[in-house]
This record gives sequence, C-alpha cells and structure tokens, in this order.
Amino acid sequence: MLNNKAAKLILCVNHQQLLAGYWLGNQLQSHFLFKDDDAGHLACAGLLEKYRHCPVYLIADAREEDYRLGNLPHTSGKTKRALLLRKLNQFYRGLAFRTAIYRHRHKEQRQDDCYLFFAINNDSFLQNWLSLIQAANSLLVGIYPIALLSSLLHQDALSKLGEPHRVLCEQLSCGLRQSYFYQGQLQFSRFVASSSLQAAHEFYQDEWEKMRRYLLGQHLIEADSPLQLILVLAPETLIDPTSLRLEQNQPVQLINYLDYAKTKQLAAKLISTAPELLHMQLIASGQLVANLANDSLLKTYQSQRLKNRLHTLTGAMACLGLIGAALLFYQGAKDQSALQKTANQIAAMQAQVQHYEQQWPAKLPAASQIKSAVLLDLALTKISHSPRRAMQTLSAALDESPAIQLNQLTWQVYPEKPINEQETALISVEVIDDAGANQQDFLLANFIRKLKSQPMVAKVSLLSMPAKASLISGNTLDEKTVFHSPEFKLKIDLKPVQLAPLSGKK
Amino acid sequence: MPIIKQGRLSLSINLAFLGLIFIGLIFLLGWMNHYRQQQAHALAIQKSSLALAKQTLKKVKNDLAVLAEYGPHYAILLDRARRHEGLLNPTNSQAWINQLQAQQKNLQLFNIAYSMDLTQPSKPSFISAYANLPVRLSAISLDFDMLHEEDLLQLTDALAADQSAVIIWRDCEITRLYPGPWSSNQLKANLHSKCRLDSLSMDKLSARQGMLP
Repeated sequence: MLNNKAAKLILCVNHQQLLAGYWLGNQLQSHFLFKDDDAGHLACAGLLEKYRHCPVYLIADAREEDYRLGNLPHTSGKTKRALLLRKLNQFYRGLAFRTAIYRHRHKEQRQDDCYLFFAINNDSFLQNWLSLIQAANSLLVGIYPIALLSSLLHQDALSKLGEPHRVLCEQLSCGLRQSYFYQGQLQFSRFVASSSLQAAHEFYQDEWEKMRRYLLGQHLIEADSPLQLILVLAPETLIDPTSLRLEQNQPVQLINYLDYAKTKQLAAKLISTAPELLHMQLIASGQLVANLANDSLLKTYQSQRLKNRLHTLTGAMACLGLIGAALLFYQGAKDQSALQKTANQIAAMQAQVQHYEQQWPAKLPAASQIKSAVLLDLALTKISHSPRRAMQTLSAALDESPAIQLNQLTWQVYPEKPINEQETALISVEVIDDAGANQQDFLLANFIRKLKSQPMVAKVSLLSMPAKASLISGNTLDEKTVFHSPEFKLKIDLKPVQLAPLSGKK
Repeated sequence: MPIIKQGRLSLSINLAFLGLIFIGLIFLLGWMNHYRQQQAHALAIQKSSLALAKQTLKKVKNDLAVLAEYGPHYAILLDRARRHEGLLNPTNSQAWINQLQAQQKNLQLFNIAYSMDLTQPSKPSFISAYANLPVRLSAISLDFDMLHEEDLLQLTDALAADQSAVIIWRDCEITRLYPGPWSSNQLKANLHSKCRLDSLSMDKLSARQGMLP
C-alpha cells in the first residue's frame, strides 16, 4: 500500500536481468533476480502483482547513455522549464528517458546556469519491464540512472581533496561501470559488460586505457593531466591495484563494498553477488536523484498519491469536523443538563414560595406597609407633641427667677423636620422688678442661665433687646400706677426626644 | 476501461466523496452549533428565571419575617380600628368635635373656637420615612381663653386620651392678657391660646398581591 510509506519495491534493470528488492523502512526484506526472458517476465509480473500497492522505484543501468554539458540563461519558473525542455528536445528529440541536472552557475559574463543533460539512447532493455509494470498497474514513482546514484553513494570518496580528474570504476553484477568526475561532479559514465575471455586484471587495464583515450579525445583531460582511479570492488575480485599501469603514477584509491555493507545494514554476502543493492538501499533510505521518467509513466502513482492525499484530507476533515461537532454537542448537552437542573431548582423554589404564600393571612397588606404602619403608630405613641415640655421647662426656670414675668409663649414644632426632632419655644419676658437697666440685664442673664441649666434645653438665644428702658404709665383715675418693663424676646430650642430604636417587638 | 480514464473516474469519486463529507460536516457543525446556541440561550433565560425565583423566595421569607415581627402590633391596630380608634380608623370630624365640646365642658373652659379642614391625602415631610402609606391629614385650629396655663395641658392630655383620632400638635401661642399679677376673678380669663393641630389617619391598605405568577 502506498499508505504504508515504509514499504517499497525497488527494481534495478540492466540488459541482462532485473534485480528486485522489497524494503520495509530501511530494511531489505527480500530480493529477487529475474532474467530478461519469458520465465523472468512471468515471475516478475507475479511479484509486481503481489506488491501492486507498493511504490515502485526503477534504477536503470543502461549500456547506451549520453552525457552533455550545456549552458542556459539563468531563469526560473515556467521560462526555465520551457528552456530546459527546448534544450532536451534539441539534444534528445524522440528519446523517452532524459533529464537535466543542474551543476553550477558560471561566474563570468552572462552568469549562465550549467546543466548536465542526460539520456538513455537505447531503452529497449527497459521496455519489457515497463510493460509489466504498466500491466500490473504498479505505482511507478520514478526511473533513476545508476550513475547518478553511484555519485551519491561514493560522495564521501569523491569529495575528498585530491586530483580534479577522477574515474570511478565500479564492479556491478553484469559488468563494469566507469564514471568520470571533474571536481567531484559527474561528467560522463559508461557501462562495460564483463568479458569472460579476458582476465580481470587485463579487462580493467584495457577499459582504463579506453576510458583515458576517450576523455583525451573529448578534450576533457590533457595528456599530462593526472587522472585518479577509484576502484570499488568486492573482496573476491582478484585485482592487484598496484599492478595497473597508470600513466601519471597516480595512486589507486580502493573501496571495498563490504565497508558500505556495514554502514548500509546489508549482508556482505548479498553485496558480493548484487552490488546494485547498495544503490537500491540509497533509494530505500529516501535519497533520490534526477528522475528520467516522463509524466505519462507516473500517472498511476501520481493519481494514487493524489487519491491518498484526498483520503488523508477527507479523514482529517472528518475527524476535525466530528471532534468539533462532538465538542459543540458536549457543550449543548452540558447546557441542557444544567437547564434541567435549573428547572428543578426553580420548581423547588416555586413550591417553597407557594408554601410561604399560603402562610400569608388573606387581606393583609404588603409587609412593607404593615411595617411602616406599625412603626408610625409606635412613633406617634412615643412622641406625643404638646407644649408640656416647653411649659415645664419655663415653669422651672421662672420659679427660680421671681423678677421675670412671662408675657407670651409660642411653642412650635417644625413641620419639615422628622417627627421626633426639635421643638422650639419663642418666649417674650419682662423684668417686673423696678430696677435699673444694669439690674435688668443681670436678672435677664440670670434667667437665661437658669433656662440653659434645664435638662431639656438645647440652646437659648436672645432674639431682641428692648429699645427703651422701663417706663411708668397710667391714668389719673387708676388706683395703682402701672409699671411697664421692657420686653425681651428669647428663643429656646428644646432637645430632641431621645427615642428607643423603633421596633414592632414589645 | 483505460487505466488513465479509470484513474480519473476513481479520482472524481474521491473528490465527490470529499465534497460530500465536507458538506455533511458543514451541516453537522451548523446543526450542532444551532443546538448549542439554543441550549445556551435557554439556559441563560432559565438562569434569569432562577435568579428571579431566588429573589421572590427571599422576599417572601423576608415578608414572613416582617409579619412575624410586626404582625401582632398590626393586629392590635386592626382591632383598634374595629373599635373606631387608632391610626387605621378614618377620622370622623363630627365625633372629634363632639369630643372637643365634651372636654370644654369637662375642663370648664370658657369656650373653644375651632376650625377643621376636610381630610386630604398628604405626604408631609415629617413622616417621609413612611412614604408608602396612604396618609390623610386634616388641619385643625383652636382658639380659646384660659384661666391658667394648666388648662392647656389638661386639654392636650384629654384629647390625647381620646383614641378616636390621632392628633399631632403643631404649635401653640399662649399670650398673657393682662400685665401684672393674675386676677383671682374666676370669670375673667388670664391667658389666651391659639393652637394648630393635625389630625392624621390612613386610607384602607390594599391586600397584598401574591408573588406567584
């Protein structure tokens, strides 16, 4: 299943056979070898059917490949794609498996982008296998050239400081692959089928010479350019690197496949028989190179990937929506539960109110009116306003002041003040003793003092003094002379009645 | 069917399924949201009703507590009103005038000139604390001569003892009629008094409305 991203079916095709490996994660589970014949095709079809839901990666180990370096103006987006397509059509019109690999950007002049253009000139070795893949409706992810994977595999060795010109010779299951690198970047690669007629040592020596001559012919190297050889061999290969005659006496760098086997978690025995498993392991671990396949070959995979993404999106949306709906429902249900609880509380309270209402005697007024009426009655009972307090106070003071005569008393309660507030008495008095003005003042002051000493008096104020002193007036017919004393007007403020707190309780 | 067409069909089905799920979820979410909002709104109303019910219950309890505290005294007021006495008894002007005449004779006063306004609803400031009561006032003025100031006090006491009307004395002006020592002549008044009073009563209190809807 494509959903199971850990499962991968990786195929490596050359002119003789197809090597298939089934990976789960980074672990190779099983591998199969199919010859390029009917039996092999049949068995391969069975395998593809078995793993039809696994993404399929195809590595092409082609005999006839073409490598070209080319420059393009520095562009991006659609223009860049159009320029690349034009260039590919220009170089490889009619070829199905081709690609362009970005190399670097020139620093001089137009600062063009440099690309390595690559194509498989003869793809007949692939067609049978591709037909099987399409027939099985397998999910082909891409087709990758083994030379690019080799440069990725031997990246560490190639990036080491050393000569700029290097040739990587790899012993693969069906032959030798020679790749030329300039400053660590792949420029050219060729596949040479193994020869059973030649000894391994001679075979390597011959192919080395051919490679060197080809590079000289292509002006990729000068005659005196040091060319370093990197040999990647299985330990069983009986080649003595020191016996190879290299023109510039360059030391040969030897890489043992078994070293890779340890790092790539592959059994050494497997690597010895099928070194391509190392390249396949690279893909299994997610390291991909330029894809040669055109879109029509990848339609199934892309369609499946889109479907999977749609499924994921649908699932995610459904989950989120359901979670959201569940949350909303939960809140609603919580509110509904609270609603029920509140309704019960209200019903209980209404029952209580009804119970208390039944206890209220019929026809009685509101509680506030009952309270007010009772408090008003109590206040009126406790405060019986009358001139009694004023008269008692004055009587007490007058008893102690025989020379003072009261002529008028005006007692009043301020209507704008609260019911228990201050009463006032306005009095008009005269000094009846026949005395001088000073003596009158003294007697009046004494009377005022007596008034102030009364417990119910808050304040005594002298409102007006007489304009004239005492006078004697009368008629000749009167028996007795009438003595008129001047009148003094006083204001007496009585203390408010101190009430106990008003309460209905007895 | 060609593989590409098959793929397209499958993709279209998937897309249609996604669309259906999307629409279904929108409906589900909308419905759930509507349900939640409905419940939240109902709960808010219910909580408001609960608060009202709590208030009502508290008020009823409070009313009962008030009744327990002031009810007995109010019962006394009602009882007195039945006997045509007290605050709840409507002022009967003629009865009160009869009472005044009786007291004048009883206290052997010279005469009492009186005037009495008709009762009318009033909100006097001195009883503003009891503003919820339908109070009625009637202004009374008395004008009379006296032998001695004690006559006034006897009259106030006598009128206060009369329970048929609630009387509040507002002011009194007592004036000495003649200067000098008081005359011993029992037929000649020594003092003159002018007083203003308020007769206070209440309209019938309306029965309490129940608190249940």
